[in-house]
Amino acid sequence: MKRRSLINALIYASLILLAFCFIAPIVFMLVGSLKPDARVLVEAGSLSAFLPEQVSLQNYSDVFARVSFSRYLFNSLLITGSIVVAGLVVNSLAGYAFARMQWRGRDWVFAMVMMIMIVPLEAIAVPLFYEVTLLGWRDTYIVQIIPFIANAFSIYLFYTFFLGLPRELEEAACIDGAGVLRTFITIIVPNAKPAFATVTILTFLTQWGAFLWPLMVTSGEAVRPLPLGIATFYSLPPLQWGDIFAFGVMMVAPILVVFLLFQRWFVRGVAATGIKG
Amino acid sequence: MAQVSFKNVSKIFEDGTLAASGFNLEIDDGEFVVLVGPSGCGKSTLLRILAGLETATKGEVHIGDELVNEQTPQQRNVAMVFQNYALYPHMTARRNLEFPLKMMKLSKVDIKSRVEATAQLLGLDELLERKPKQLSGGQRQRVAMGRAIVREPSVFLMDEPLSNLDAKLRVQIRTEIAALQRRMKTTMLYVTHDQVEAMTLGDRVAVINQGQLQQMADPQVLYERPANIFVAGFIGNPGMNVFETELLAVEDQRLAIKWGEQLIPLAKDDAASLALEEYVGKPLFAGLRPDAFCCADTSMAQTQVAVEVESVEALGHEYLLYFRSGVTALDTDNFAGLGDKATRPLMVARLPGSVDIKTNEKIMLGLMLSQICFFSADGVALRV
Repeated sequence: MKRRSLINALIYASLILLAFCFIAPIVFMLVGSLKPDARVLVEAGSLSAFLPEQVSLQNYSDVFARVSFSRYLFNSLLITGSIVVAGLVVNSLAGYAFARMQWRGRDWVFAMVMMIMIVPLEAIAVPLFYEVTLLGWRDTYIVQIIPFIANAFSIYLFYTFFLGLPRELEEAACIDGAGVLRTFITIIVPNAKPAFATVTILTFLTQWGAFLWPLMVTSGEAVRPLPLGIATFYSLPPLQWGDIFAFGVMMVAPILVVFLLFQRWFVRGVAATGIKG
Repeated sequence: MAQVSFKNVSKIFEDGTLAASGFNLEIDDGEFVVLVGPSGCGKSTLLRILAGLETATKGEVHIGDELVNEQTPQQRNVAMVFQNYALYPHMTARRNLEFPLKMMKLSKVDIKSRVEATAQLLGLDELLERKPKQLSGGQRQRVAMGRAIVREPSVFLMDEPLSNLDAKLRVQIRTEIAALQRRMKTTMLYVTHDQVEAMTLGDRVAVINQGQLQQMADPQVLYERPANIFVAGFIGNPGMNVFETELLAVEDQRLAIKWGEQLIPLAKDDAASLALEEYVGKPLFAGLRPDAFCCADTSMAQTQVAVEVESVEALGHEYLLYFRSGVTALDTDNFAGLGDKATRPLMVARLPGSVDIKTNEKIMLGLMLSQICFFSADGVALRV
């Protein structure tokens, strides 16, 4: 019995240590953003790194004074929001077409889409850059939006979800007189909230943190998103970690909002109510 | 309302599965026809072909005077109740009922009046604002029927609509469906694998096996005069005891069948009406329903056979007696012609609950020979 308790204690201690490793950077950033800039690095090696003695919002006001935070935020919201909304439309329709519709070459096209899933952006960044330059899209919003709307992984997520939806729902709608598009909009979409929520969260997370592509295709802050905004601090001496942390906190906040908005559908299973007796 | 006809309809799926083969069926206007058969026999596929959810590989499907092979489900004006109800989970019962009417682009006033009339007809008034997950199985079933009725279709299609309900509710809804169809007088095609549903609901019952129509008749005829060995075994619970035998001429110009070593003489009239003379000396199959057995000492018994009781199922008002005797019952589901070795281990008789019979007892059973059926070597009834 005693031995069992000891093992349990060791397991819990390991888990707490592991959890600390993941949470520590976030807490460090949050606490650091509330400290006078001079104390951030001084206290970094001690427990005080996680305990602010003098709470100040000075770093936050410095961020707004030193860089155009609201511009970066607007750009990020516009770019990420557009990708998410357009992506939901395009990828859900593509997923539905692969899952439910019969058309010549479907399996080949689907296999190709799945292959695209394993190609990283870095591998196609240069040809893509060449392409958007030819189109004259550099330094615009659309160059940061269009290439990321269609997403193989999102298509796959929708595809697997639609496969699991009872086919009778669509057949009932078909007999009731609804066409394919109306069935999709009025019957399928409302019953696919978990898939839409999952794709929303994952796309938002990926695009919110996009750095390489915006760096390649934009040059001025007019259309640049938040991750490039935070990078400007490194070229604005003196290097102030408090400001960077405050920027970081404000950059993470929208992700939390999106997650909290959609998380209740995030892991919910198929809405099969009304299907089984 | 409309007539429905399948003319030489075949369906082969992409993977080569044959679901229907040269299927013919004529359904009269306002008739209630039940398609019954074992799982995988193609009955649901035929219903879906009629609904327009599947296309026939070959043949013609008519609703009324129109050939509907190329028409969409909506153009066919059919309504369907699915096995799993297929109610739209995100809509209330009212919106479920409204949906087909909105697709028909009816006015709001018409939609409202039709929905309320249907709700009243099915006793759904109080449930209209509930979503499917807030309804019981029976209530969902009613909403599903309501969604079909509200359209006032020319043909109703029902695909095993009671299979998800418990036994008690099934009986109740079954009665309601029958009453509803009588009231509306709409052509109805009902698919089930439950022969009790088939026998109690249908004006006529179509028995299907391996995508082919075996027999189409009213329930009593199916029971008393099955067209072939499959129907004999499928209809009735338990099904008919079918066994291989031989027809012999005995004295006094009478015919007899072999029951093991025993010869059982047939009544002259029966033999004549069955026109059995040409089968004398040839092997054929005979069938006896479990009800054709009786206690040996009753006046109904026209002859007796010795049996060894293997097991007894007491059902209260009756016994089902499983026994071995001089003949071996055929496995009617998998009949493969004369000399078929697929047999059921035991024969079965239905006796009144008042008799006292024990397991392993050797007894004499009476036979009511007027109920005997004969089938040719290829399994076709000699009189239908």
